[in-house]
Amino acid sequence: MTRAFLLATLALAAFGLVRLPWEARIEASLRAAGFRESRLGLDLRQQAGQLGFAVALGGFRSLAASGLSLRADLAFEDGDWDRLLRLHQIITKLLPTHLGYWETAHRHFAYDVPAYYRDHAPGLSEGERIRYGVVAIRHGEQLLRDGIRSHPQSWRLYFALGALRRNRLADPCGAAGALAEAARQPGAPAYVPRFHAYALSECPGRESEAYTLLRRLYDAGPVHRKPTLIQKLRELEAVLGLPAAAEFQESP
Amino acid sequence: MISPSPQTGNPRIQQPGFSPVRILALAASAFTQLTRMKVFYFLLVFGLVVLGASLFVHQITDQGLERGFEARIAQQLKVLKDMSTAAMSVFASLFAIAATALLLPGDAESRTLYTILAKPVPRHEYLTGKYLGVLAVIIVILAAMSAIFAVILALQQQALLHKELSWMGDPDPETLESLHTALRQHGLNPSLFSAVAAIFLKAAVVAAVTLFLSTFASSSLFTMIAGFAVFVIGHLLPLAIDYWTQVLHLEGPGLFFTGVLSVLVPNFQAFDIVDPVLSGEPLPPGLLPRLSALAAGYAATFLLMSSFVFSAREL
Repeated sequence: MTRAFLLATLALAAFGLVRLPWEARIEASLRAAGFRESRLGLDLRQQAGQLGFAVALGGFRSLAASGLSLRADLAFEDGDWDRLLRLHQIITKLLPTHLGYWETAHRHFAYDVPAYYRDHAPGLSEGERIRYGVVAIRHGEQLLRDGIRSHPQSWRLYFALGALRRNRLADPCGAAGALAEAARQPGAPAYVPRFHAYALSECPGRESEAYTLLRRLYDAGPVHRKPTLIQKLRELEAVLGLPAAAEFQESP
Repeated sequence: MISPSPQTGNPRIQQPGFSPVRILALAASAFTQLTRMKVFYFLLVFGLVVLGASLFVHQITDQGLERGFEARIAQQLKVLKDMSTAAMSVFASLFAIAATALLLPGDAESRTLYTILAKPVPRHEYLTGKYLGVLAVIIVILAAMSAIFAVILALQQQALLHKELSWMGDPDPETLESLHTALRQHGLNPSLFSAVAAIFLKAAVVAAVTLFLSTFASSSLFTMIAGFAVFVIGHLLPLAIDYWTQVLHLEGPGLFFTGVLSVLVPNFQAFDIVDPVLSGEPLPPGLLPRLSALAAGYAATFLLMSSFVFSAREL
């Protein structure tokens, strides 16, 4: 029997030596494909709780993230923003591959929480409402930037970042940069370059560049010939003081 | 074929080294044996889990209108996919441990083991047949679960499509195309079946490990507990090794011990590809064949080890 166990141990060790480089190659290809973006760290053990961590460790990270996402919905309903932020940070750490979690998390902080401070926060001074709102927007922006690090080819996250900088932080120049990135990513719909041009048209000093881009989009085809685009062209002509002969003429 | 034994000179039955027919007969017998344990009732539980998840999706359908439809669809279908694949994974791994742990003691108790081994059946064939029987039951149940899951997911997709279209009114072609793309990416697609295949491969390795444990265990309970412990350790080990090497910076004997553990303990995390697939990530090309080859390597090694120990065991 001892001989049998010795032989079994030798077989296990021999296979172990063969499989380690084999598994390393598989892990490398999974990592390259974004399947192993984040390893579960022990810090997550403290954040996710014992059960959540055990579930995640057993190969059910997606299920654990879904459960925590429901808890985040409850935190949102309760208006517990600190817990909401903590939960979204854990969720996005558990499953960074799921784009929807980044979008939901950023939307809560960039739009919903500031709206709460603006309209439904009795007992706060005007200054506090603005300050807390801006802090929330910055959290939303940080979540988006972390999401972009995980999904550098996602036009949706760049587009969301552009919208946040343009609509929430009144930063059209920063928005134009993010929207330009969004337009460069694979699968970006036709409206993304239009929004890039709109943001660019609002960025001081870049009106000429925006005008050229808007003209190019208009000439590219009927899909871009929207009333907003035509209005932006007219506004820029006024700003740039273009001679009447050089002004844009609508196609019939 | 009969020839004289070299030690005693008595006639001895020569056993052909390998007979696929005998292995298949043993696998069929193990399949029947497990079927009689009424394991297929679990399908009913699974159906209820999937239906429950599906109803839950309906409850959260109307939430999140302020999000884009891509995020909404991804979130809603994800809950259904998460619960269904988790139920499949839990069933496959626990069944692999429990069923394999019960097979050998069950045969010994019913004296079937002695009847079989008294015939010209090599012990390694007996083990291989039993192992394949367990795998066959897991395949049948996972296939049935996948069918239930696919039907409910497809119905859910249609319901979501109609709901989104009713909210959109008259969408332009670009939006409509994006809607269909989101449904294809997050709904029923071939990658989901690859995830089920990975669940099966992990269960196959778990069953092989448990079979080895059952060849020397004194009771089914010990085999089940030890099998479950190896299952947990196999998931924990990559994290522990990361911690020891990257945080504690182990050197010398500590590092050697880490290496020994890596060599001896199966790494079940290698088969964890379900989560990214559920997020809509495309599977890297050639991944499934490589994982299948790895699982086959594990199964062959543990069958060989089982064969060494079981052949030396006094029955």
